[in-house]
Amino acid sequence: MNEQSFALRTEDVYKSFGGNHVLKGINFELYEGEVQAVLGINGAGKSTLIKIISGALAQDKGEVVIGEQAIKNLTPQKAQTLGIATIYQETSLYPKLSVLENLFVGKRLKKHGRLDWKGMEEKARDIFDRLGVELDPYEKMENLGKASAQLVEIAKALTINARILIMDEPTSSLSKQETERLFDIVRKLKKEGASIIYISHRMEEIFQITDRVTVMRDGKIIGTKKTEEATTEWITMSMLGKEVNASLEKKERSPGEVLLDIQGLSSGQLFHDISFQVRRGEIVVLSGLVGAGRTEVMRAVFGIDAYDSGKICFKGEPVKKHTWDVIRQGIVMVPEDRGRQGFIKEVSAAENMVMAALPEISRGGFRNQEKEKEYVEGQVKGLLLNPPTAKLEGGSYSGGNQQKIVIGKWLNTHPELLILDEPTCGVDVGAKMEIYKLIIRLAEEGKGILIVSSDIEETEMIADRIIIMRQGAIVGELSGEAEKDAILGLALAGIPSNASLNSPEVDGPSDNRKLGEGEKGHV
Amino acid sequence: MYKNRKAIKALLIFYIMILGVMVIKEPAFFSFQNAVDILLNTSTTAIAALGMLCVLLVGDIDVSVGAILAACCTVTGILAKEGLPMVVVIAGALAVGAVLGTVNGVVVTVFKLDAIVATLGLLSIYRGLLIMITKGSWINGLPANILKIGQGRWLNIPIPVYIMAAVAAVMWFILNRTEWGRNFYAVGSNSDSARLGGIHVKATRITAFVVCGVLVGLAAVIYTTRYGGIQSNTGKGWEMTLISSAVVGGASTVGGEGDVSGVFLGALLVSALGTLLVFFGIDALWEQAVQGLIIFVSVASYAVDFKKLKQRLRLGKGGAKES
Repeated sequence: MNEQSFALRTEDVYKSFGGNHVLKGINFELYEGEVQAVLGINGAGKSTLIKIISGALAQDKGEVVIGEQAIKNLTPQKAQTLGIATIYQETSLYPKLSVLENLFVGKRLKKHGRLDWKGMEEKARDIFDRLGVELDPYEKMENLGKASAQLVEIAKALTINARILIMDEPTSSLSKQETERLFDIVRKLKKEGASIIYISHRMEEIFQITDRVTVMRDGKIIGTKKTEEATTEWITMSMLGKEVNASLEKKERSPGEVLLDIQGLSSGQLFHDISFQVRRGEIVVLSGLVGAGRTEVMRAVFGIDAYDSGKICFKGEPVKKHTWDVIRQGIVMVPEDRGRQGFIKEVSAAENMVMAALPEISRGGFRNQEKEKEYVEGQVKGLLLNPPTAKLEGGSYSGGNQQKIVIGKWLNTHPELLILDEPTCGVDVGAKMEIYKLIIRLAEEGKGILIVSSDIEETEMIADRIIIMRQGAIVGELSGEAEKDAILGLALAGIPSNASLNSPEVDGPSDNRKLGEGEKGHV
Repeated sequence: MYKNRKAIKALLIFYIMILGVMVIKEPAFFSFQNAVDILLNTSTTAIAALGMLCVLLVGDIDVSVGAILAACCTVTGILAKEGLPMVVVIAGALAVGAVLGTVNGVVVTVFKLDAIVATLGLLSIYRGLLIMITKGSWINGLPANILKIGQGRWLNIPIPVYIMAAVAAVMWFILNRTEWGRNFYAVGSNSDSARLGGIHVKATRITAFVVCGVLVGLAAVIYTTRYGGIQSNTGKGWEMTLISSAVVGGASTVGGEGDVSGVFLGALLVSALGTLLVFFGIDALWEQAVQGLIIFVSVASYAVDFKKLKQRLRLGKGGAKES
């Protein structure tokens, strides 16, 4: 492969978002006619790199070279004319338009100066045939399910004769047959000389379809190897890095009284017959695949969504129906989608931190500035906020520190039970450890901690007890010392680990570090 | 280009119902003259509502259309009284509409102001300037040749009806058969992916405002020549008429939805409302309230997702699980 020419290269690309360095000097190389996997955990910078290559984001420094040409000011339009097609993971479709129109926006066919709908329909049907899918070109997009939408997204990339195809988790909502068909197409495109960047968390797909593997971590490329030379061990090691494996200091904690007691909780088709307990000073992790119904259970506990049947008790008393009462009882929830549900970027960190505690701090409806200051300063110290001040605007803190601020906001209400939904989503490796330490310290202080996490490493590291959910039901409970494979076996198949899941070189889902489908929350 | 004709179906059913009642009550209503009159009354509204449709399609809104109408009417009047040729008069009105539309578009997109707030402010500015220019006086006594546009007939059908038909045909072509017309839909449906898809989102939004301005300018020419005179508060509250026409016809105020036939039917309903009320023996004072009611009912009926509603009701009642 030495004398192959490059379809695309990046030279020393840097990118940061408000002080958060996401890419630190990326030299990425894509040969002509190869399928290259780009791997990395959440926040490694994969999505950002792809956005730069496809023109959706501009780099701060460095160059993107397509073919032999260094391209300045790459825009999505330019990228398209240069033959770069991107299949975005978060579907970038137009819900109110037809399937047909979705395929051709930005590159519609014309005949005699007007749009050639017939021609487009024919081409669309051709592409659907190639993909082996059956879709009505005139169906309105918003009426399609997730898998169909993903297929439309793929078909969309095929409407231009792509030289470089970027696939960001293209199979995340496809069935097995559809995935196979997609692979056939990938192979065909490769034969035709196209180069493909393939992003996936599914290790077996990587080994099946790619020629080379590039691993990113922490905004850098750790290494690139031929797929046949790469081992799952090397990939996971590179993805995680050594510092993550540094163990956490765990003091012996003995769980105290039962704080949260859930019995037979059911809600429609979301989850059914959920029963478990969380004790004082205990860290319970609710593990499973994205979409297993974990967040929905948490939302029901926190009074956001109603449930059909079952009982939720807190310290022996039934949990109230409305969120504001639940908070007063001593339960708080740090949501997964920090940006939308937990954090306000436009106001200062201090303002964020007192927000939930205002009823307690204020007197007669008037705010008590001195008391607020006292509360905020206590949190800044306790959380090891960096920079150690709460006066800056929320958006100027890094992802990890934003998460600390959200946790601080809730700690100010003096809760006894903390529910954390994906607490380290979009948080870099260093800050992750600090958040873990914080969580463990809170447990040592006697608070009950309930965490929803799709991150197996994280689960292994901090959990005292692991409850695994699958398709809306609890399929097992493991102790904190459980092996990765055991968790995965339950989460994926609903059965305890077995031989096939244990052998990494066959299927390799055991190395599928991230159970979740997507790299969300970052950027 | 999807086949969703929910709004149009609803409107057609409504029309058939009304016509049915009329056939029974007053067959004499069905005369060529009446039909032509209704179309003539619809013409200015329909033409300008198609402009409003463009702005709504990209996800914006323009509430300054009444002021633009007044400005274009004034220009038409002034130019006509100068004795300039008809072509110059029309071009002048359209140009003013285009300029004001551009101003709206630029203010909304470049300064990133909320469309409703920005155009609300501009509405006052336009009106204020207009009063300063005309000193609040009426313009009338236009030369007879220019009045032919609004009052003339060909084959016994008023000229404005022809203009309306032509505009509808052109707009249909633009919105269905041209790239930039379809871009309106794309931008309004998902502006982020439109940007990623290589569409110049800002330019598209500005274009929509310009098209709206030009069509309002054209409506102004008809308006002025039809009534032969204008006053400075011409077009007050007209934005409501246009927005209701578009919305009743199935256009979405958040963008991406709406088409020419729907808006035409909507405009027809809104402008024939007065006549209808008289026909049914309802006091004309009710017109505004009824107009509001129709908007509310129509928008609600398109907006409610009946499938989802049913499902939710079922879940809420029995809590039945199908697993």
